[in-house]
Order: sequence, then structure tokens, then C-alpha cells
Amino acid sequence: MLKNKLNGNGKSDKLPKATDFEPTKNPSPKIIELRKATREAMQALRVEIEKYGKKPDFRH
Amino acid sequence: MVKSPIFDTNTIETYSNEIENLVEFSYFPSIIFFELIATSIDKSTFEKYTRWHNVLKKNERILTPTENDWWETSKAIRRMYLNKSAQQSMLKTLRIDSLIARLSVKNQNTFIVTLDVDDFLIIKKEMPNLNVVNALEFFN
Repeated sequence: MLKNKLNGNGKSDKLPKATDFEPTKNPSPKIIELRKATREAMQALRVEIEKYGKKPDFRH
Repeated sequence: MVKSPIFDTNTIETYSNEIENLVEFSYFPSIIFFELIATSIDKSTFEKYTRWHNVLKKNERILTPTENDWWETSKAIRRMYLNKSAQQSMLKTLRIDSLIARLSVKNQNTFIVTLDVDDFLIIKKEMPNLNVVNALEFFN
């Protein structure tokens, strides 16, 4: 059976860690907006988990 | 070129603080919004997810499966089924993860950060180009 070529041959590169990513020091308005929206969404997620408990897992 | 992380829902829930600082480098599968929106309770939370979704979309940070991605993913799951590389009961669990894996394989400068590494390693048998890292290792 032929596999889709895109799925590849199994070679993988060394992957970065979170500390390898340095946030832009002078962010553009677009990045500022992106950070703000993310911060608010993540905060809302934490509040909901605290209020109602862990979310149901759709995988099971 | 440095690869960009893709997070699954479980990782976002566990590492929400850390992900705030990585958003400009990251991609988010549309599937996570299905899970976040479907399980949001407060109206204010729903509105914040909606805003986040819109801003990510504007910044082209959302990865959405095409018809072909569903097709290729179903073929990969079929191979797992036929090769018995995953227990039958696991196939249901692997549906969403396989779709996320497909998005990562298609967008070659990405890798998946997950707490469910074992599941993604099963998928990797059928998608060898998939790059996966344990969230514990990635964030520490």
C-alpha cells in the first residue's frame, strides 16, 4: 500500500524548547493585539477550570 | 529556519500561562477551537475565545484541515487498523490527534507539543515526518 509522500520517511530534526523562543522586544500593533487576545483567552480558560473543573476530554 | 510549535487542547489547558508568551511563534489547529468553544460555559469566556480566534485568524496562525487532509488522515487511521499498530479501542481516541498530526506534517516547519506523546508516537508510525515533543520537556 502506498503511503502519501507527504507523510515522509521518519527523519526528524532537533526540536526547540520554549526557552529558545524570545518574544519580540518592540512588537508591532498586530503582535500586541495577538498577545492581548491570547492573554485574555488563557485567563478565561484558567478561570473556567477553577470554577467548573477540568474540561471534558473529546478524545475519549 | 526554526520550527514553530503546535499545541493540542490538553497542552493549552495545562500550560496556558506559558503559551501566552509563545503565541507569536505558534500555530493552533482549528480543532482546538471546536473543543474549547464546545466546552465553554460562561458567556464572557465564549466571547474571549471568539476574539482570540478572530485575531489568530487575522494573523494566519490557525491551521485548518482541508477535504484532502481528512482523506489522508482516514487512510493513515485505516493503516493503523489494518496493521494493528493501535488497539481497536484506541482508534477513536486517535481521530482528532491524527488530524492535528496531519496538519503538522503538511506544514513542515512545525512540530507538535503534547502531553499525550504515546498516542502521537503511534500516529508517527504512519506519518514518519511527524515531529513530536513531550510538553514536559518542551516547557522545562
